[in-house]
Amino acid sequence: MADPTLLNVEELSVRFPSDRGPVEVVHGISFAMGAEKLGLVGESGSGKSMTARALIGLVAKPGRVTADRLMLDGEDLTALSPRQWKHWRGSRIGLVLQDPKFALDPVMSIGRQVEEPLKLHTAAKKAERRERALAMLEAVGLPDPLRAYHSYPHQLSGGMGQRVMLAATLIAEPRLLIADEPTSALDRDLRDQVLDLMLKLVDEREMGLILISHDLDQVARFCDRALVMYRGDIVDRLPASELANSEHPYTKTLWACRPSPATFGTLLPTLDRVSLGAGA
Amino acid sequence: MSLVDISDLNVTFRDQDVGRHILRGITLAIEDGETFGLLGPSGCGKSTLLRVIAGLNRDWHGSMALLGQGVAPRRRFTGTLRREVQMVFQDPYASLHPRHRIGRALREPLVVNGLDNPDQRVAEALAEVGFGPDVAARYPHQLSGGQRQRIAIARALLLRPKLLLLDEPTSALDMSVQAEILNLLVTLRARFGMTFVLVSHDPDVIGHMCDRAARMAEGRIAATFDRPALAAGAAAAR
Amino acid sequence: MTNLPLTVAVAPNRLSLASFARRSPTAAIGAALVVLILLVALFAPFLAPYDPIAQDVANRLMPPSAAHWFGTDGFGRDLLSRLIYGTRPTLMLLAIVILLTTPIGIAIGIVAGFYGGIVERILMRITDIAMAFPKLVLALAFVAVLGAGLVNGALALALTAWPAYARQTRSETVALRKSDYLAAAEMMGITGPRLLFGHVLPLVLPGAIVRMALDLGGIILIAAGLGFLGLGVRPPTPEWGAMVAEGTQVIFDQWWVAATPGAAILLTSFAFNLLSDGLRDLMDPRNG
Repeated sequence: MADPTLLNVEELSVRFPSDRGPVEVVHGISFAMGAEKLGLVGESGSGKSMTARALIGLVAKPGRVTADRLMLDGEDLTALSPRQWKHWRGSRIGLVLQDPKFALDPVMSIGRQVEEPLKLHTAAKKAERRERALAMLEAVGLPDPLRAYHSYPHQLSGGMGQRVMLAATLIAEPRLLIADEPTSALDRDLRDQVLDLMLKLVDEREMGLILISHDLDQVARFCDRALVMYRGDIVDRLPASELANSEHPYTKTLWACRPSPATFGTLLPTLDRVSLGAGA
Repeated sequence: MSLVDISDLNVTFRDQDVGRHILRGITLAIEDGETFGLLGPSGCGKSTLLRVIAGLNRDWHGSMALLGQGVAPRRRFTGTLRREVQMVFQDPYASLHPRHRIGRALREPLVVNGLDNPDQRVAEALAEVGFGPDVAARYPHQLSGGQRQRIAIARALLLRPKLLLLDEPTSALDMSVQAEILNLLVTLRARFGMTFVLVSHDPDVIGHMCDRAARMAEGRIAATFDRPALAAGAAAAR
Repeated sequence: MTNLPLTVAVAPNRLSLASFARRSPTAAIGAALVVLILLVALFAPFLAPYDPIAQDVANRLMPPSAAHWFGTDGFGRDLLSRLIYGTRPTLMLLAIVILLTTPIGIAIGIVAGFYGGIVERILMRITDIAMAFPKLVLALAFVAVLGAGLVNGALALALTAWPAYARQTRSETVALRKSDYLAAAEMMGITGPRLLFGHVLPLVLPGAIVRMALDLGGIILIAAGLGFLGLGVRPPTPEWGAMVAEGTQVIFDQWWVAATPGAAILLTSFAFNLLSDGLRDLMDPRNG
């Protein structure tokens, strides 16, 4: 296992107030990671996306994030002011979201969006910014970086859009990349391509990656370790390659309930939510 | 005669005087009792084809017979045909009327079609998809995505269709909920002896559910697969 | 298939008064004022200290005092009593305009939006024509031909007020036409009036209600304008617009005669505007 010093999370909770008292969507989870690829697996409502948002400081009001410890790269994030947070968010943690259609500004050219983080976080001059943006667009595998630089989001396909997002995220050289379902809006054939590229770039830069996914097979193939979340708790921790052999009933069912040509004519295993709920 | 018999079906979409083909020369026969899959990338025309068979898109050319009955373009489905061809939509959040309680959503089709004992039939329909009668008092927004999709299936089965069209019925759902819905569909098909047409972008779902399947691309049928081919994973290969 | 328990909590569907006030204080204040005005109209005989049309020439143009809180007008009639009774023609006119315009506008909008094609083109051209008339000018012409009076004034206003509802409802219906739940209803054999009024209407109604609330403030002003020009209710029945007109003759010496009905018009219009602003916020889905 990698040196667990990049990110150290202890007792992270996220609560939202409601008419009948606060609702906790993440229940005091703890984990640590180094420059490795960590898969965060779970279904909707498991709290996996909320965990990512908490790490990057994007939990919308009136949500409240608390943690005993939230260390990134030796810095205590819980001690930061909202303004410092904003700076940190861009320069140390990068976030890639599910659908580039919503993450990219439709009226800003691709080049400007990729350069934006450099403007905010570095003293780089205009010419240097442009050069670095073009290099980054090339690194994410866009066939014609100059043309992409001058184009607008609607002129890009989904796969290209996600590459541009990756470029805009990585240009500030963050230490940790959080990718929230980065491929689920893409057609199947494109998914592995985009993930392969993401892993290559993460490896080259010796960054940490948190891959949030509902797709167990994807996590098993691309990650080092996996955390399985269910209703706001981490219920299972294991090497990603062992996902198929987990003894935990939730992980086990999640792995086995996927349809395939081999399951034709059989009923798929389903979750026994009642006993899982009682156990949690 | 096949349950669905389509030959040389074309759909064009007029966009500022430029005719654009959405479906080109589709010829297809689906037999009674089988589950037929339609797969392909987004925009390949698979959903349009399903909506033509459903009678929702009536602007087509070619010839089509459903349940042994000729269907003319631009004609609304009525009577037996309307009852016996039903559909389950992709997004369970969008296919149930947001201001109607579940009970009304299920009762109204029965009343409109003049079936007897609507209340008893609603209770039975709910039981078939694993609900108690108390759910009738709820609104759709009070249910989860999987629960809504089960309601949508119950509604589609109310009129005892022979042909059930499934438009990506599980793509908006979690993996474990998908398993429950697929199991439910398999069980109900066995009980009521229906024919399914299943549209999906997921070759695994097609491989799990279908006896035969067709891959569509750019409005045409690019390849068809029988069960041995599907079992060998042909649907997933490009 | 296992029988899964329903684990979803039932959200409270009823909008309680308290939560209404918390979610939109403006709407609550507006609603409170509107309710107050309605109550005043309803209980006018009990609230008014004097007969609103009883003349008392000895006490004409008296300034506000303990006996006459808002003073008296040129005929010595108590202004407070006339203000209180003046709520009645104003609200009556509003009610007639609403009852005439919203059902027609919504029905035309739904039919045009849902069926499209030639039906839509004919209905919407009629709507455009009706919309092209300037509101107040048409109202004046109408009243000039048919004679002054509350009902004629309301008819004149209704004639130009319905197209806005038709247009808004049509565009909302067009957007709904592509929805899965209407497709699902169609597949169940639900068609015609049952589809339009059972399925489409409940979804376009909130928008029309907000629109109506927004219009009310303006209608009150136009109604007062008609009264001011002597085209509304016939004297001596108290009407705010007519009262302002009477007051203008003495506005420099006895300002309160024109100012009090003017303030009443302002307050009522303001109350409806507050209510509509709040309603729009509450019903706009973007505000969750």
